[in-house]
Amino acid sequence: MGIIVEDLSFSYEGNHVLDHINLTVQSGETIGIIGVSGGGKSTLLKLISGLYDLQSGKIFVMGAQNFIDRRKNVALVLQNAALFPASIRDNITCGHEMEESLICHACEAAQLTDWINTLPDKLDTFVGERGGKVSGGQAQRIAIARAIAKNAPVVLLDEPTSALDNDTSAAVITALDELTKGKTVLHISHRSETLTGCTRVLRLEGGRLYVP
Amino acid sequence: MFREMSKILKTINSGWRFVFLILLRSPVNIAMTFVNAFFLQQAFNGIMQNNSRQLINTCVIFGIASLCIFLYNGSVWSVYAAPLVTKMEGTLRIKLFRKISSLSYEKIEALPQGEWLTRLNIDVQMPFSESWPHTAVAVVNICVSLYLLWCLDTAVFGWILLFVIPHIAFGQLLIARAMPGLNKKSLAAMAQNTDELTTLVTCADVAALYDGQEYFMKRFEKSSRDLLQANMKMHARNALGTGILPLFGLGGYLTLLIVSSGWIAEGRLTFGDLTAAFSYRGGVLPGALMLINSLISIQAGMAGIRRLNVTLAEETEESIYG
Repeated sequence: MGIIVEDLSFSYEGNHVLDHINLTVQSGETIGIIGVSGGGKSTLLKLISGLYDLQSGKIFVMGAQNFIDRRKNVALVLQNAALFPASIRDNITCGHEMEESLICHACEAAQLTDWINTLPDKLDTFVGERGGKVSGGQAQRIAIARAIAKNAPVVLLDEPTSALDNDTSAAVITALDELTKGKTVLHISHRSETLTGCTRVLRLEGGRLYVP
Repeated sequence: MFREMSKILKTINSGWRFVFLILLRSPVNIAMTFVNAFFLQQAFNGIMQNNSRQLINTCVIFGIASLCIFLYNGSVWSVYAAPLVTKMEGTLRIKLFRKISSLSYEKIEALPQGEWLTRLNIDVQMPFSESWPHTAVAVVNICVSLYLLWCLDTAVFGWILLFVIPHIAFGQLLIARAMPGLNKKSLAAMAQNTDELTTLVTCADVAALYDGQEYFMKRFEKSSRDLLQANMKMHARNALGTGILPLFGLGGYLTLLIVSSGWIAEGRLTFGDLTAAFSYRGGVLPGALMLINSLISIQAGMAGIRRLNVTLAEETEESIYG
């Protein structure tokens, strides 16, 4: 089983954003969740990925309940990619020893290779303070390459193309297709048109999940 | 040095108030030196001449004068200096913040976050360090003490000068010259360290999900080590000065003691004059030490003051695009 959420509730200082949520995502299935901004979609992803502590309920990711094990099974791509002031290589590997072929494959799949080949320092190019030397689309694709290199069985997508223009998002969507191939995917968005390719689309409203 | 400082003071329209503060502060130490010297000279002369009336009068005058100096100094600091410095620092911080917030995004983006935080938190304190009034106090103390020594006895004056000059020169050569460079490296290391800490916070989700905590921690540890090493170099240089410079002071003291014993025996100098000379020497030598330390501190802080001036002189987006 990919993801199992059982009776999950979560609140910020008494404000209930998730109310007795139950969700099952089969391995290899792609599920979309739509809902208004501030409706708790991102909170749900952060709980599943183990970034937030559970208040009540249970979550299993690839059978793992412990938050450390859940993190190992998850790759998360957020709306605005967080790059740190280091090289493209370090932003992809996060300091881990990785084979060059694996990094190159991740870059190729994330549609980065052509751009990286134009850079004088290639993979060792500094992305700038707060990723300032790369565009939003490039930053997002570096974040996708990072997720591809991790090769986690579950991919969580938090509106990964919403901050990008149409031309840029085309390359990012191609990269996302590579990332999500054969994986269990949970894709959240506030626009249903971005959730094409999902086997099911659910609506998160008032802290509860509905079939629209 | 003075040009950089005057630019800062002009920016916050406080040049005259700062000068006035230094003028108010500058006579305190020399007044104390003079009162001490006068007391020792008169008291010992009174004792040597078995003149109890002179001794009592001297003690009363010394007590009143010391109290007046103490009250004056306390009033200047509490009523004028502390509020003024706080106000000036606050004004500079606001102006700097406004300046930074009106810079183009490209300029802000070009530097690490830590650089900006260091300018706003550390650099703004540099122009108002106590080193500036201390320098003025030390200069006045040295000049007036030397003049009073000259008036007291030219030979004593010469011996004291013989040890004070190399003392100052050595301090300048050994410590002060190296300080701006060392401090610049220290500030750069501090900015880098702050930046790494910020990254550690802003990329906490990446660190958690991609098992990158160790990587981020290593980066932070490396920058912390660099900062430590940069600071250690400054401390080592200061410690070298602290270890060697007192030798000049002690050497001068012992030499004067040996030489003057003959003069007292000859009747050319009284014991009261000698104690007064030691007291004036105390105005010259600690004054010189204070001057060296203040100059070192000012020179060390100049890196920050220069950076402030560079930032304050930057063209804002409004000035570029009209």
